Amino acid sequence: MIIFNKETHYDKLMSRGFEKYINKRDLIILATHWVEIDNVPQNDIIERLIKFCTKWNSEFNAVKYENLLLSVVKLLNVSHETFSTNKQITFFRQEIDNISKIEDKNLQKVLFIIMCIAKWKNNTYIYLNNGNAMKLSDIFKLAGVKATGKQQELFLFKLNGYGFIKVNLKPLLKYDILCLKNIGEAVKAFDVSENMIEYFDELTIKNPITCQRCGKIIEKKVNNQKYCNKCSKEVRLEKDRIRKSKTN
Amino acid sequence: MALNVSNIPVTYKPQKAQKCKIIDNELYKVDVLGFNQKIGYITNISTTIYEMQSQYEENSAEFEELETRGKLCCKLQSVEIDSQKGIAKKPIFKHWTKYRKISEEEKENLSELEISEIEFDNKLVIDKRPYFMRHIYSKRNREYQEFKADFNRYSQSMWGVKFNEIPNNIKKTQEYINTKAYYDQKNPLLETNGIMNRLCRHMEKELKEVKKQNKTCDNSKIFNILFNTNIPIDEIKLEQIKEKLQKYNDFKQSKMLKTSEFHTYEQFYKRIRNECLVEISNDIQELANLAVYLCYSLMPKKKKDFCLDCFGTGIVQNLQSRNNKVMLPQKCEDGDFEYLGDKYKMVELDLEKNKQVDTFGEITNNDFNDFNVFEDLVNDDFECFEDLEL
Repeated sequence: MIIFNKETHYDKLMSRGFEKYINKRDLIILATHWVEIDNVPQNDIIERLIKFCTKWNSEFNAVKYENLLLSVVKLLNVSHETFSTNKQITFFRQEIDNISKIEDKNLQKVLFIIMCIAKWKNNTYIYLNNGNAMKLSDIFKLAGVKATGKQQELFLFKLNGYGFIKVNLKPLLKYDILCLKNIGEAVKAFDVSENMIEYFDELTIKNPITCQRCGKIIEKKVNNQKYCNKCSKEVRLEKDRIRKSKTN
Repeated sequence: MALNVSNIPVTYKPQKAQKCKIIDNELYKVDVLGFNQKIGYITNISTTIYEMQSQYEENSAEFEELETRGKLCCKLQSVEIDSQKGIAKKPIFKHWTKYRKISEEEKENLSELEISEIEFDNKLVIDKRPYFMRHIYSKRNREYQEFKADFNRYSQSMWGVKFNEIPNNIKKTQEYINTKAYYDQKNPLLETNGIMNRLCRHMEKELKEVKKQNKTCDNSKIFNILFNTNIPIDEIKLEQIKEKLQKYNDFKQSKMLKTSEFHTYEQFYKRIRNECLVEISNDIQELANLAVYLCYSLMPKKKKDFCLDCFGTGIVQNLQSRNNKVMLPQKCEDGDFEYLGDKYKMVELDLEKNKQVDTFGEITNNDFNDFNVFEDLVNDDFECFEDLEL
């Protein structure tokens, strides 16, 4: 899964240990935090990592994982990525109009998430090659769209066909997002998180109103509409209860 | 096409190591010389040369060059082996395994002949390994699978089909031709038509068929073989064994072995078996029958490990009591069918006759039955039973 907030992930690691058995990504997050925030000298990083691994797994063998630990330290020197926390992204009117051109709601959601990730990375593309930390299935999870591996590929094929994305093979499998237009009227700015699909409805609904009961933004279908579907049922039940208690 | 070195053996004048007296304290120096040897690397290069040769016509310049390299590999290999004696060795030529990029400046200084020689060497660089090696080196296999996955995703995004399923009309487009060239360039394995690669593909195809057949194998057929109809099913006992199955699944799914009192899974299986023998039934055959009924008949879609892990012995005994006649192929001159050049005949094997002298050594099957139940109950730590079970 994509880690949007490294700070909270670091806290999780410190309190619960590894999510998956000694994986490189977690080790890099730990090392980056120690170097950037705790100002630990780079020479002590390996020792700290070994201590951490031994704490959560008493059978940890530092010799066996020597290459992994060294590669983590090497990556620290090479990568210029800072220990980022949540970052705000902005959507513009033209981008929302582009998304609305697609009829399929699920396809819209997937494109929205792809755009969010690209904006979060400050790029106009996303890498989806096999060695990348971000998987195609992660995008679908974030979009809340259930699809098999084949169906997921088909979604990309459709987006490529519509001209919203362009696939490149060299040097790594990369998808250029052609519908990103960071100009004009800014519609919404929000923090990237695992729940950013919630903003999708808010941005794409044509006649938005706020549900008076739960505060959710919904599409206005009738003139007197006040509540979302779920709340309207409950309000109706409450009214029924009051009416029936009065008659009794 | 294959390397043509088989006709005449490769010979060369070997260097000889200097004679010296053996000093015990200095023997380690010879051991040190044996470290970090490139024997396997040279062998792999040699194997790759065989595969590369299949791409070129016999007597072509490339074919001849590769053949020379093959012969040289023979010599390099022998020197590498002898190097532990203290004989000086030479590394593999750089231009064999590495591309040489010609810069614009170099182009101006080099003659046309020199440039064409470099280009020729670049064409024959041995930087990949044959396709069949993906089954030897897991790293190569992983690399190849990742490479294929990327190309398949690209192809599906572009044309809606996998890379190897692209229809002919697309194959004529410039986009596909460029992609194919890039595929050949970046492919970490040599997908040529050499002997070993062809053999490998043949084996892969055959194994695919076997896997398909295994998948389609009906559970009910296996149930009919393993289930002993002479032993009735008791509903209460069935419920009890269900609980044990739940315990078994919980333990295995949560991977509790490290935090548990058991050192191996075998010890855990033994505990479950002992509990069943004490709490449910002291007849291992009945327990095995219940487990088979539960896993194959009531829960056919779930894993069947429980039966064989915990009640393997009982299942074997049930099989023996159900059917004492087993057909086995036996080698003979007037056999009915042929396998790998020998003739075989199906011969009936009577298990009753062979019971006294069986694979369990001195202990007979009847002894084994008693031994199984009582020894299990009394002693938790009997190693011999584990051996017998195997």
